[in-house]
Amino acid sequence: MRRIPKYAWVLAPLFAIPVLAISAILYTLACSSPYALRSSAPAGAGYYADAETAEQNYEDWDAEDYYASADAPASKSPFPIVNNELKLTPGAPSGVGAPLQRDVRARRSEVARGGRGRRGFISGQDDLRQKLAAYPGALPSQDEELWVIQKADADDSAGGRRGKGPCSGALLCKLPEQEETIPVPLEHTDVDASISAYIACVNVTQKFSNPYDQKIEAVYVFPLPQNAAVNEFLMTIGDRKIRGIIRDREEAKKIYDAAKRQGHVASLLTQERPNIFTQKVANIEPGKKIDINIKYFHTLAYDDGWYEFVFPMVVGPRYNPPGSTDGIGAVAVGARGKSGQSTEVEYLAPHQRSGHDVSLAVTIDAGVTVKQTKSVNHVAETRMDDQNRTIVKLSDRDSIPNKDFVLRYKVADDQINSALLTHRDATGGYFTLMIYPPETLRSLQRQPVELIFVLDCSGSMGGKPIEQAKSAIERGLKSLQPNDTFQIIQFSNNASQLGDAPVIASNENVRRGLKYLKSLKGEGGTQMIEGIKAALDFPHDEERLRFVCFMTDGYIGNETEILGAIHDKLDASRIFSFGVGSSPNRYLMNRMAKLGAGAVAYLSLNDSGASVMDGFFERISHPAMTDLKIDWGGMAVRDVFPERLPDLFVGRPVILSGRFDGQVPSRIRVSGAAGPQDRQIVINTSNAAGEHAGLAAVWARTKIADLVDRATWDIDRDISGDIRQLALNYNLMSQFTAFVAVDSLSRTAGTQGTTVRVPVAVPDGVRYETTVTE
Amino acid sequence: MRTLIAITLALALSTALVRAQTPDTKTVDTDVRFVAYDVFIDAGADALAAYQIEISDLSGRAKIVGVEGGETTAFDAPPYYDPKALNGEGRIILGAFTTEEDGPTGRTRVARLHMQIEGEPAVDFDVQLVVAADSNARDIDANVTLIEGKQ
Amino acid sequence: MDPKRRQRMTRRPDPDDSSRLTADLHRLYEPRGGIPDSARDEIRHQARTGLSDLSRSRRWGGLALVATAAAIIFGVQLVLQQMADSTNRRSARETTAPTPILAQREDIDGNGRIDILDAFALARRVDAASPLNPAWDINADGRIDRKDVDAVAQTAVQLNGGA
Repeated sequence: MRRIPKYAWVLAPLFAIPVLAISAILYTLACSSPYALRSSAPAGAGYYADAETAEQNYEDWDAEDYYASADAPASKSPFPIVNNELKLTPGAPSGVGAPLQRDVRARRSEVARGGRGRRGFISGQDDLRQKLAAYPGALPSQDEELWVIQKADADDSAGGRRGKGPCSGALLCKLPEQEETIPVPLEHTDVDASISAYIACVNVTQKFSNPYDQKIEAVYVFPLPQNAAVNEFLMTIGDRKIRGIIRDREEAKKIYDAAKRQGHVASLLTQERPNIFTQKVANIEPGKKIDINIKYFHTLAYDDGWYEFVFPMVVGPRYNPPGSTDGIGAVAVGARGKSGQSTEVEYLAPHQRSGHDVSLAVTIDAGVTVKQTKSVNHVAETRMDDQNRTIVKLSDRDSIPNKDFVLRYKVADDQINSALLTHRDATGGYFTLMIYPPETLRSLQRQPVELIFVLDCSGSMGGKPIEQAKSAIERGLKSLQPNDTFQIIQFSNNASQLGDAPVIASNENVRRGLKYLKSLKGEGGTQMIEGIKAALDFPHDEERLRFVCFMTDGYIGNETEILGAIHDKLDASRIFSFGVGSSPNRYLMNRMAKLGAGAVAYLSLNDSGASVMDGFFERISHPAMTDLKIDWGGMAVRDVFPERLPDLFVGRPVILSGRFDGQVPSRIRVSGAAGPQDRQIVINTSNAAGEHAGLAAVWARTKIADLVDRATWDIDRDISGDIRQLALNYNLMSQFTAFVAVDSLSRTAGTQGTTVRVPVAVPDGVRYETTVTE
Repeated sequence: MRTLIAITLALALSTALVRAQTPDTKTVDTDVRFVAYDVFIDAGADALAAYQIEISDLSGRAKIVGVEGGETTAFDAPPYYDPKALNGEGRIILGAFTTEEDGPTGRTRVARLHMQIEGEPAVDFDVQLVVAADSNARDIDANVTLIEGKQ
Repeated sequence: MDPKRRQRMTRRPDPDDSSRLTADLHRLYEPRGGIPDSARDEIRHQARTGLSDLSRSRRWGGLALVATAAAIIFGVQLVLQQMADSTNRRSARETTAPTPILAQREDIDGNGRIDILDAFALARRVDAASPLNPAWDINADGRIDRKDVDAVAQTAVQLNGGA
């Protein structure tokens, strides 16, 4: 009888190597598949009504609540269907289901097992998304762009839902002349800002309350400045103050969800976009109040002697290219699912009000005399205090949060001598350098320019925004000289232009351009990528400085695609972005300008487009210095942002943020080209240096923004880990970190309650009819 | 031989799927609980004006999810602490002071830590009182205790 | 050799001789005795048994190989998991443990270490409007106030550095 050879036993371990390799490959594939089934799924889950039935009969169902619920028996179907109508299980208005571990893959697989009571894989991704489109929040993307959708207010026409949840038997906020009452979990937002040098420290306090007779979870989506470094979070329950902790985003969500399920009062702050955040507060008992305090730092913009402080108050609706389903749809209240997008924002109609108001006060401690202040969009009161500080306060008559608060103030010119701020702590040195241009440059020979105007003609620009933009372009055309060239490009559903190539700015061509400009209207979609391509995809004229001017409100959902295209196609062009409207997408505008080594300007509805264009044109036709180089005088600098130094224009400083080691030198020299000549600026740091404790957070925020920008074109590099660690080190909010706070001392009774989302107003000046899908 | 290869491939596939199904973290939601720990300092007859304590989690199962102040107005604000504490570091340093003339005497709750605890067994903490001082910044005899708060 | 014999040897064989040859071969190689059926069956039985033992042995051997491979797979995965965890902790520590820089300005009471008493001391002086050392303007904003106190306190409770 033959025996197993001895060498077979020796070879057995070697046999494991290919098995390991196969296992690793299969593991990777299994983890990345969106359709991976989970063995921990409860037996009773998975039977859903079809999307139409669910949408018609159940407005409040929330996928997150469903998966988070711990109270429902596993054996029952979560949505018993009676007579083809979806019925809620009494006592669990937010949906029932056995507890599941909160995991993106689990969520997808569970919802995938649905559709008319059948189980199994969804055959195609489109089919999945179509089914999930009816369940807002049920399809988180890989980067967790969870847009919290405005909860549909109790709609009488739907029937059946009224009387079962927080929409009835509760104290509702009813304002004079208001046709529809809106439940208000967010009563008030208080903003207290303190400005020192050109860094603002802002405390935002959101006051939540439960006006219903049931326990609720309040969810509020709100904007902050796109360069805000959020680094403190405080939850106040009665007299008790609990400071929140920064955690990895997924970990924070798990902590929050576990606390919510167990009945603890908990709060979670997450970042959806660099300028959009979501605040959740769980287990607010009837009649109770909970305050959330958020603190952040950010640098102020400076333009021609004016500093600008912005507190954004409203999230603008976004446009999504046809065929895309991962964007953000703008829909009317109760019109969930109409946009076909995976996530949607519901906007109040013009006759609806949420009752939420804002109080705001800004204290300016510039260190020098403030000559003038100007509130651009709001009525505000200004006074001086006994410490010679300027205090600007929002008037009570203008406290509706439907437009950004923009405060500009001018300081005495001859006192500006502090251009370098530094800060040292246990982690090292941080600096911010502001380079001011010389004041006398108008004697320089004007350089010929090639001006490319790119006008957004989408629906959201309809009305006043596009008229403003057109007036600015018109002024620009009339300011051109015969040796300049220009082009006009419009984009909405697609792009078109005045001619095949830029034309000489002769009188006849300028007239033709004005006529073409007059014919443009604001309607259709926002295919901004077409505008980008049309503006940058043709040869550069070596004899002229090319400036590409984008006039847009930036209401799009594919920002990364836009920024990636600019990075790839920029070449020798300089991008100037003009944000138009009361609440433009400042994140996009600023990123475009930074990537394009240009600058950004904002035209609010009250600004004069022609005046803004005058200032812009004067600046670009007389650049103070190009091709900047900096001699740091022995200071060992690193991690300096922006990496590509922008040009220096009259009245507009260059701001750099970075790290340093060693001593601060007595002089820093900045050199560059000014036309045919070389120029140099010397910064004497002995009388130009100061310190600010917020610089570390500001620098970290700047670096995170740079990493995020880099991700748009550096697709081979995994930057998420870098961002996460940086944010944790500096206690900062980011897309990969979040703040969480839990009151573990007490537990509330009953189920985890209903999720109530704070309604969002359409930005002032944006036409509801052309922007929101009903 | 073919059978052997087939069995091995099946084993590898099942291993991969099981690993993919395995939670990324070691904790499932049902295994965590939230507990408040009260920090008491007994300063005896002296009035406590400033303190600094260091708490170490010996079990490695505690994560801090909130820091709350104490019971008296002197220490009602959340104490100072390093945000990186108890997030992989396993310890936290708390510090606070009051400039009120009369700080609390006797046994006082000066802070409360909200924690997420993995698993059922109680967590073992090591607590050290680094600083305890009166209103004149003089060291005082005091002791510190950490007690699980009652819900 | 006798030519006639050679002739006979080279002569083509007579076909009639093959049957005789065959008969002679049969007689020569005829089995001495027949194999009994029982013996034959026994041989067959033992052959089958031996072959099945061999097959079973091979089967068990195969399973042993697979089990060994599986054990190695799980063992390596566990080791890799442990290494990944420790690497994450190590990298977190490395990133979060910068070289502390001695911040003497925060040592308000001058005892050579920075703790909460330094913040306390500065707070008392600020509240009492006592004469203040300009070096205590920690954030160099031109004034010494509670913001500087916060900065000192935050340094005191740092896990790396401070006290």
